Amino acid sequence: MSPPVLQIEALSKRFGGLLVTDDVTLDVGAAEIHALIGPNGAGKSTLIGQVMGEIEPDSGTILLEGQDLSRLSQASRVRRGLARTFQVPEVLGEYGARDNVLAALLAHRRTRPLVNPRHDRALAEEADGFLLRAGLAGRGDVRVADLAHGERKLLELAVALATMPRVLLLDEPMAGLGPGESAQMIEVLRSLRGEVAMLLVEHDMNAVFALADRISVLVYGRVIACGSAEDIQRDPVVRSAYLGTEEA
Amino acid sequence: MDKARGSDPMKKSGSPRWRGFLPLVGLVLLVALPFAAQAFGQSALTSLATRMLILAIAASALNIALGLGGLVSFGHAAFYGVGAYAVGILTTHGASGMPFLGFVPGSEHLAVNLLVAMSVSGIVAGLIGALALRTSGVPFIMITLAFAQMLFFFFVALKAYGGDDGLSMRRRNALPGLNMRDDVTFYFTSLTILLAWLGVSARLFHSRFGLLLGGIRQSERRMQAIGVPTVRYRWLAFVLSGVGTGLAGGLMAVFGRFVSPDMMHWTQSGELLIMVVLGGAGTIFGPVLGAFALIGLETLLAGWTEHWQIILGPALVLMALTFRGGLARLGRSEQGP
Ligand SMILES: Nc1ncnc2c1ncn2[C@@H]1O[C@H](COP(=O)(O)OP(=O)(O)OP(=O)(O)O)[C@@H](O)[C@H]1O
Ligand SMILES: [Mg+2]
Repeated sequence: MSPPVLQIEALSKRFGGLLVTDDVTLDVGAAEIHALIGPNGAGKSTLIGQVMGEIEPDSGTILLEGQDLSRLSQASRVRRGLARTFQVPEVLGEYGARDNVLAALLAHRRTRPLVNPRHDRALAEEADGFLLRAGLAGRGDVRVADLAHGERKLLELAVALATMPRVLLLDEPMAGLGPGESAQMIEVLRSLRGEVAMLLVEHDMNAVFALADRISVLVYGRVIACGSAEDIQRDPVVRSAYLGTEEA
Repeated sequence: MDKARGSDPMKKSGSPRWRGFLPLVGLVLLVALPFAAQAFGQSALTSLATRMLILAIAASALNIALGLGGLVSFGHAAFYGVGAYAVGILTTHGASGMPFLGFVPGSEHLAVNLLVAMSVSGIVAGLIGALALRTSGVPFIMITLAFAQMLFFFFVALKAYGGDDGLSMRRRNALPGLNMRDDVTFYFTSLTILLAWLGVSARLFHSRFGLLLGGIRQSERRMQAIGVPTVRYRWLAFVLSGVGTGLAGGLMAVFGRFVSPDMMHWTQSGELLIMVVLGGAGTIFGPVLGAFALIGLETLLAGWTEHWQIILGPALVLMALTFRGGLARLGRSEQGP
């Protein structure tokens, strides 16, 4: 296997008395989809927050392509190739869908100071390209406040892609989607396989089994198992701690 | 109107065509105003309108922080007052010929003094912003208010420049070739400065910086996740906003030939906030409308009854409820932001 793009090593984080991240070591290979599953409150979102630099870990290191990110701001981590989506869509409600993507395109780009970026056709077409990839073709002008929940989830993805990431941290992309929408999301993510590595936090096991190359299981902040889908399904510890409740 | 929506990706829907002509109509009225005032023997109207123009600059500047950046500053009177004192102090030293602090030469040149007013206000805004922007929400409101009150009391105590009596200037700052003593000339000078400021402001709103700043107002977390150093952006917005407010303060000092700590009073900050919200936060012309509406209303009510402040409050509440989103959004089919 090619060397991992993202390496999380011995990461720990406490919120008061609660150990949310307990000595987590985990990596994502180049072009890999690595799923992270675990019950509510296991610390999955907190882990993504620490990788992005939004939450500061107590100890441990995070490497992107071998480079230590610890001292870098969220902005520099994004510039180096990290992007995330949010569990609850965090989008710009007053803007149209295209302008949400435009913001991501402009974040690390110089433009001519006196030109209105909204009137730049090349830029608009580039933004529309990301909307198309995320399955939102033709929705660029719709105010995000008027988009359906599923469309906002797709927009999250389009915005993240517009930062040209090497590693995409997806925080429950299927959450709140109907069956048809889930199928669409799975299709979109599948189409990205090979282009960008993904850490996929997800409760929807159909999506996980459809997409993941490897699965890690997080319970009470601790990785209790890591392996292929079959390994995980067979693992007795996992079955009792997590999957068991679903199969019962 | 609705069926035209989304046909051209570059065109924003939601406004009937006639609205595009409104700024032009407004400009014609403003140009005609001093002549009409003279013709009807109401020269005081020109002075009143000049005050409105100057406060419109301040409100428009506050709008960069408030409307675009979502920063509810309750301390903008500080920048207004600092700009005014910069002009007042320079002018006093310019008239006396004694350098300020023994080495800074005074000046009675309008352009020089306004540039200094903008710079000093920008620096003060930079310092206050660096501290206040560590917070947000109600703490931010309180901290900006606290800084403004500190400056207010500083200038009350500054006896060398008039203390709480304020500082009077013998004559207005000059611009070569223009007679600034003439109220109509001063009116047109103020109008020109307002238009220039609005031009800068419109550019800013429709720039990359404006788009990203508007994004930060809607979701700071989202903008951080796409790699925008949001604190730096908000700080820059706060500074630019302070610069424009200082420009207005300086111009007001020249116009009235008078500066006093009252210009920094928290009620002045409150009035600027009301102008922006009343006129339409986040719009280019809203703050101008708000400044005209508020000053006009105050003047009307004051001429009608001495208890005008009791009426002004409810009138403002009524207007806020009637024109949700501000005067500038009247007749627009979409409400927001
Ligand atoms: N800022 C915080 N301060 C204190 N506790 C927190 C904070 N953020 C999260 N927690 C707690 O940390 C634990 C892990 O939360 P986290 O959101 O990471 O879980 P999760 O695995 O993403 O769960 P879910 O599947 O419900 O999204 C929870 O018990 C949560 O209440
Ligand atoms: Mg979560």
